[in-house]
Amino acid sequence: MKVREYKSLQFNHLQWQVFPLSEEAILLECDQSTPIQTIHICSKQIEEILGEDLLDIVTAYHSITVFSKFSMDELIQTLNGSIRQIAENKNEDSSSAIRIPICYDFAMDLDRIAVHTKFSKDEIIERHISATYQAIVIGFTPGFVYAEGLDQALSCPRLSNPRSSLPAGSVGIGGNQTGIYSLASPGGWNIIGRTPMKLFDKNLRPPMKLALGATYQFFSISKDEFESWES
Amino acid sequence: MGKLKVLKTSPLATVQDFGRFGYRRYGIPHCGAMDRVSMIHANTLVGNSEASAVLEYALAGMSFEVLDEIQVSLVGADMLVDDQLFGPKARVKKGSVLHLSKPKQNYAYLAIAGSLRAKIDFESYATDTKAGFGGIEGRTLKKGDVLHVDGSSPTDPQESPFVRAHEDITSIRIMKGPEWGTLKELPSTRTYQIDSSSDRMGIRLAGDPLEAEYQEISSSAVVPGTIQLPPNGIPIILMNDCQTTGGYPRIGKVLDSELGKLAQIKPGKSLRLLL
Repeated sequence: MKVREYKSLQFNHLQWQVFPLSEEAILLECDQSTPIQTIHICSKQIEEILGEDLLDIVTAYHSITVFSKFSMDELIQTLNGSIRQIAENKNEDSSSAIRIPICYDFAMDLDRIAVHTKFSKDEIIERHISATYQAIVIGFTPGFVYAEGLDQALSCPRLSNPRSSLPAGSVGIGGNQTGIYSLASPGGWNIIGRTPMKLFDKNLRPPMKLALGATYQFFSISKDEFESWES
Repeated sequence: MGKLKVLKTSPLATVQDFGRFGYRRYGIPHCGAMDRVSMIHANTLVGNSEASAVLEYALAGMSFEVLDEIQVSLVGADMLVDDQLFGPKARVKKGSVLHLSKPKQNYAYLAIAGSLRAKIDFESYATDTKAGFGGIEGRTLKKGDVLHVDGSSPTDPQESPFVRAHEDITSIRIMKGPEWGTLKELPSTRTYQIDSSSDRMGIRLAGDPLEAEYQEISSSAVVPGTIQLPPNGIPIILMNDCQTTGGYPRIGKVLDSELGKLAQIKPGKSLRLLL
C-alpha cells in the first residue's frame, strides 16, 4: 500500500502522474517545480485537444483535473507524446494588465497589517498599488482567484476568527497570498480595500473577468468614485 | 397552474435538481439533490421527468397552504392533507393545508406535478445558498414564500417500487483516491459513526483515526464523494455543496451510486467504507 498507484504520461515535455479522482475525473499531476504559467498553458491545450469531449477542467498549482467521457487509458493515449509549442504567455507583460479600481477607505485591517509589517499605512498602500498581480488558481468560492505578485513584505497572517460575511469586491491578504472576494462570503483574510468592479457575473460566459494567467494592477479611487462606479 | 404558500419552513428547505455540471473550472460547486434516487422516485410518482426540480428538506417538518390545486408526491417522510394521512402522493385542493413530517432519514423530497418556477443559474435550478444561485432567490425557503408550478406533468404518474435495504452498519463502496498510498491501514478496518455536524458540504465521521503518512498537498481538485484525510486521521467525505479544490490528502472517493445512500444515514449510525 505504500506504493502510489498511478500511470504516467508524457505531455509537453513534462512527466505527469495520472490518477482517477472520480468516475469521470482524471487527475494529472506534475513535478512541484513546474511553473504555474506552464500548467496554465497545458490546461488550455488539453481544452483544445479534447474539444467537445471535455466536460470540465480544474487547474491547480501542480495539477490539472480532466472531466471527460474518456477512460484513463483513452485519455493517456490521446495526450501521450502530444507536444505543442509552449507559447510565450502574452499576459505576462504589464501593458496588457487589467486595471482594477480599489478604494482603500474600505480597508478593515490596515492597522493589523501596519502592526505586523511595521510599515506606515501610506507605505502599505504604496507597496500594494505598485505591484502587478497574476491570476493563478480558481477556488474557494465561485470566481475566487488566488493571485501571485504580492509584495512579500506585506505578508500578514490570516485573522484567527474569520469574518462571517465580507462584501463582494473585498481585496484580501492571507499570509503571503492575495485575492479578491468575487462574491459576498465569509473570509479570514486581512482586508486592505474594496473594488466596485464586478469580477464575477453569473449571466456572462465566461462569468469571470480574470481568466487564469490574466495580470492585473490596481488604481486608487475615492469613496465617491466607488459609490458612483458602474462596471 | 398550481400554487402553494409556505406556512412553516424547515431550516434546510431548498429547491434542488441534478446540480451543476461543467462549471467547476470557475469554482462553481455541484449542489443538487443529496439523494438523487429519492428525488427521481418523487418525480416519477407524479409523472415528472426524472430531472425536474423538487423541494428538498431536512431536520424538521414543513406546512403549506395550497392556493391552487396541485398534485404532489413525497418521498422520505409522511404527508398529511388537512390532518389526514396520504401517501406517497396526493391531489391537494385549493384551501387545503399540506403538512410534511420530519424526514424519516435525513432528507425528504417533495415533487409537484408540472414545472416548479425557480431561478436557473448555470443551467440548473439547484439552490447554492452560499453563492445565491438557483432555486428561490438562491436561499432556503422562508415562511410566506409562494411557490408556483406551471403546466402539468408530461407523462402519466408511475408507480416505482423503491425500497432501500435497511442495514445496521451501512456498507459504502469506495474507489481509491490519488493519495491512497499514504495510508498505512485500510479504511475498511474501521467502523465510523456519522457526526451530527454533517451537512450538504460534507459528512463528518467519528471513530478511530487511520494511520497514514500525513502529507499536506497543494490545493487540488476535489468532487462530491472525495474522502479527505485531515491531520487528525478521521476521514471527511465531501458532499454536493463542497468547494472545487482542497488541500487534504484524497485517500478515496465514495462511488456516485452510493452518495444518496450515504447522505441518508442518520447521525450516530454506523458505516464502513469498502473498496
